[in-house]
Amino acid sequence: MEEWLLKASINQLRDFLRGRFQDIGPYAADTGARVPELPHTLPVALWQEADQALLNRLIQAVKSLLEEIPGNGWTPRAIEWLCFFIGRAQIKDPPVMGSLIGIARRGHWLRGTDDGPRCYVALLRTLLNLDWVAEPKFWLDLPAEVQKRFPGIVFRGLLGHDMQAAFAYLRRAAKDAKHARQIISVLGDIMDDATQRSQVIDQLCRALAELPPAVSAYLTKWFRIYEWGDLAAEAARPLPQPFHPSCSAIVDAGWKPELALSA
Amino acid sequence: MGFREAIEQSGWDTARQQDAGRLCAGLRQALRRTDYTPDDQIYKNLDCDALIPDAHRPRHPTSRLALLDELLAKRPGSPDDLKKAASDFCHDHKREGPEDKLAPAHVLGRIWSANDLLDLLLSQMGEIGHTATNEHLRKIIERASLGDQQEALADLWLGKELRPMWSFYDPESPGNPLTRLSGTRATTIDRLGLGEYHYERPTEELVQWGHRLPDGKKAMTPTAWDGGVKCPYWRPGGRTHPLGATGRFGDGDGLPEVVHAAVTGGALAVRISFVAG
Repeated sequence: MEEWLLKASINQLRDFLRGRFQDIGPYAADTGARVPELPHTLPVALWQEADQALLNRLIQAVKSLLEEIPGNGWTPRAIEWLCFFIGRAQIKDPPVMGSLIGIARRGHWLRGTDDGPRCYVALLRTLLNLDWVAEPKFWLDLPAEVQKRFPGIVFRGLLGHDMQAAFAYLRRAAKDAKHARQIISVLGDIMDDATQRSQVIDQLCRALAELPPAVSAYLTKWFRIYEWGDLAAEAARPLPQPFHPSCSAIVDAGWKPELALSA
Repeated sequence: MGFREAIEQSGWDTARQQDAGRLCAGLRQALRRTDYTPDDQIYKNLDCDALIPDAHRPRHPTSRLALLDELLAKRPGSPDDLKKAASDFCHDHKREGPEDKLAPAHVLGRIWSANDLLDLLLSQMGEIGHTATNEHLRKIIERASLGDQQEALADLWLGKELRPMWSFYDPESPGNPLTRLSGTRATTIDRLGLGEYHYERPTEELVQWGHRLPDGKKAMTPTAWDGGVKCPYWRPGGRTHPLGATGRFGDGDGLPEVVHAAVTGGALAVRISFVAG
């Protein structure tokens, strides 16, 4: 680690991080080398090596960078690198989390940046990576331009609350293979958990017939590649009761599985 | 050919020529690598690359004289500043070498750190809503066929977008440059002269793949400006420089190497796979 970085002021750290992620000026990473350096590598190493005083300065520098966007030359790709760094370094400290949540709630990256939905979704993804949980209404109320292009982020946000609600949304929102790719990517995070895995397969089997053919074909194929299961074969089996999108209402009304079985 | 000849051709007055001579000595010192023999190899690359003219020549890479001119104008105070100024100059003059017209007819090979590739891909997947883990992507590399990798990574860059990507090809195996690399980490990095992974990051997990250049995209022979000021393992001349570490390959057994604009997963022609330990 370069000595000056360990002693750098907040302003110097801000300039350093801005140069890395915007890929310009004296702090740009050597991304064109035979063995290229990626923009986030050195900042993550700096974060991991930092003592408390340096961590505090880094936190302030990151916070001020978040607040200067969309000004100061922040392109969508540079914003993605900044967000990627925050997620990779797991910067959960209140000043940074507060800024991220404030930006998410206000949504001003949506309107102020080039390709606003892309920048906004990079931010939401980072918040999810930092274990932020927003209420289902937040996800369902995301602007149509975000939901139309990135239904995967809503699906993932809803998964944090209610798997049935997430799959109900999926049935309504997934239209093409690009959307299916987002869903597969989100599921990649939870399929190693055996309990969740069986629930996901069950939900997907029910949804498969209602999804557009391009979506179900993509999901079926990648389930097979990842060895998560044979969705087509699973879907052909009789499904256990009770699992229906409306079952939460039935459960609320006093329904018990053992009563259904005895009936 | 070289900095000395460049100064002699410069037409500068005696005082400036002497300044430039001192600057060259300083540059040699600033670029020295005590962990590599010869320790002044990086300077030698800049000094000896036959593709770089001493003085300005139209339709040729930027000259050595241009580097000296810029360094004399900046007058870097310390060795670190001098190295940084030379690095910035190299950065500004990448992909200026002659076009390699054979390269587009070959599948080009690439070896890279697995973690760096996964991070680069993940950084582009914000829109997909993925977490910071890379297990999902590792499965794509481990299990997906070429066609499925092309589909999954179609619009994702395999190198930093808008930056040069280094590749090699094998004239004796135009459809798959990986076929004759013997398949192990040691022999692969030896043949390709990737000292970065032999000396500096010896435990780094590597991936390999083949890609085709998109129509109309050119590949250039790298010059010392592409080689930059950090890598003593590279040599000018347009071929990889085997390390000789495994004793299997001599200097003559390098493969043609090129620099070109980064490509996306849609350009894959040989599937991405992990290089065996």
